[in-house]
Amino acid sequence: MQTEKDLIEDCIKENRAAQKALYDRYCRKMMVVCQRYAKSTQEAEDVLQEGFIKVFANIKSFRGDARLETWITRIMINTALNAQRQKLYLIPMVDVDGIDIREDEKVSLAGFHLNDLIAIVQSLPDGCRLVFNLFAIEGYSHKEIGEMLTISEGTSKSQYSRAKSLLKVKISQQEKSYEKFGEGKV
Amino acid sequence: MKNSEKGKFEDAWQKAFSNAENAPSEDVWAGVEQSLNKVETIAMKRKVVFYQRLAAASILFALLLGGLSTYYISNLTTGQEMNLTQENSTRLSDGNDPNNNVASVPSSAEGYQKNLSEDDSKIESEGGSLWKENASDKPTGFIASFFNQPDDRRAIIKDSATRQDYKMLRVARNYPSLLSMIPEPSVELKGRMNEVTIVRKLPAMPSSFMNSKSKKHTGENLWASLGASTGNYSPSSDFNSSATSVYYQNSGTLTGAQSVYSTTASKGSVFSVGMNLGKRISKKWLVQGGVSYLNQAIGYTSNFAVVDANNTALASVAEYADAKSFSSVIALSAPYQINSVNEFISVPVQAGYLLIDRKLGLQLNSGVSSDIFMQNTLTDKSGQLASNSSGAGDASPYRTISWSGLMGTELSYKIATQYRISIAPGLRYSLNSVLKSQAAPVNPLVWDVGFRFRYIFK
Repeated sequence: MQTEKDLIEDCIKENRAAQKALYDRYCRKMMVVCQRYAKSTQEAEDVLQEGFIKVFANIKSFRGDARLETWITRIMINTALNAQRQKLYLIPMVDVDGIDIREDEKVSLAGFHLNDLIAIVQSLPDGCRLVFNLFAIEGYSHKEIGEMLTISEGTSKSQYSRAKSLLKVKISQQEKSYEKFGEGKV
Repeated sequence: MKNSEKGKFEDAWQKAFSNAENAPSEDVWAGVEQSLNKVETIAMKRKVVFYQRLAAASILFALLLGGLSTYYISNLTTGQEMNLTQENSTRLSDGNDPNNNVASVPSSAEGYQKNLSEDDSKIESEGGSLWKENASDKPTGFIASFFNQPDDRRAIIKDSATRQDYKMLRVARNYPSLLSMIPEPSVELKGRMNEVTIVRKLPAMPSSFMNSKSKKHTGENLWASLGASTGNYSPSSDFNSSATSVYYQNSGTLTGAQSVYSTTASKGSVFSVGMNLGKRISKKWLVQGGVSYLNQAIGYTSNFAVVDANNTALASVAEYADAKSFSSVIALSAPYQINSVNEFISVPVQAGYLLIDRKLGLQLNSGVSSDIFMQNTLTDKSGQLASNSSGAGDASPYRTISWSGLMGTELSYKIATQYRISIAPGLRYSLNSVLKSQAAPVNPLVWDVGFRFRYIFK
């Protein structure tokens, strides 16, 4: 198997076989990233395609400071955010008054099907979905998210709070569904 | 990231998606590949435009070189090819010999034209009447053969023409309609003509050409090369370079000869061997330098020899006249042929510009070289006189160091990872005279083609 360094060098030379190998190596993980940010699988595939085109166009600038997977993930997230940005302007996010920040509850997602979890995330409103992904999964702070999405820190917090409450409801519904049909969560 | 803001909820979601994988449809890669092909097509179009411009520039350069070469060679051949003894005796005896009738019988076409110009009107009238009287006749003999010859042969025919032929030629030029009377060569067609269908096919472009991407540049930064070159040279940038140097004019002291002279041929041969070291200084620019042995050989005609302290007659030419070592004792002889060989150590320094920097390389080189004179050897071709050598130093007629301007191209091909071979046509012109004498400066102009074998350091 080709090492990552060789793969990158061959991709810089625009070797098509190497480009395909790189794509095959990371496309599945990146598909999930794109699905989390997109509203649908079709939209996720569009983002994935555009993201990989950017990866191959800019791979010369990859300096190896971070892992290649991290670098590709960042490109996918930026591509997804660009795709969603227009929607954010059309549906501006507003602060939600009276944010209820309660003590954290124990949540277990161990027995959930991946596609069910993706479907739950995709069901969130656009603004909530982006903030949830950036805060909960990617680990950005509300301040950083505010700068990335050109919204206030407070708006980011309120959107996240809303996302969190919506997700709890959805998870609860999904658990009931698993119990009813005897599948999924063990 | 502020960890304090994170709780069990976020941890659960991170864990759920940490190594999650989902296969996208095949259409995604197809879309990526299509987009990459589009980008490559644009890049290829840019390349095609680049190569078209490069081809146009190369053709222009080749035309320029070809034109200069043709002009140079034609000047060398027209009326200059040796027959030197006759020509020199004509010059040297001009006015001294009352019986000499050279002026009335010129040996070249130019001489004829000069004479003809003196009685133009006479020729016009003669010619006019001649062709009027023989209007039904087709031109034959010299004129017909003249117009049936290619251009480069005409000069030779001119030299063999008679005075009457030149009159007829002049008339023919003034009456262009006569050209139609020149007989066409008869061609007899045998057999029957068959109809032939010509099928033209468009060349197919291989898919590998569409998809292949080569490196932007070779990344060769340091190399050493061994090389050899061969070519011609003229002793002077003056194309009429066949020249006579007179050492002594008859003043009555010498008997049996009117002058002591030597004449150099218009063209000599040159070869060199050497090694170079090259270094890339930027993406497109490089410098290279080295050292080479340079050998220039040319023929002389001389009518004298010098006698040294051992009473040995040595071959000599008039260029030695200014040298301190030149013996005052000269011996006159019938004109004889000398082979003169100049040897130099050349130290060139050149800047190069890379036009193409791929497996196939093309670069333009320009620079200077300091040529360190080693030795000149004059050898009598008949072997009757002893060879005469002159090294560098105060007694030598040659400068110890002279400077030459260099210009050329180098077309190379990478035959292995660390090896490249190249062919390098070039021009070398001496910026200062190789002789110390200011009376007869000699600035050799060299055209040569070099072959080089390059080792690339990693």
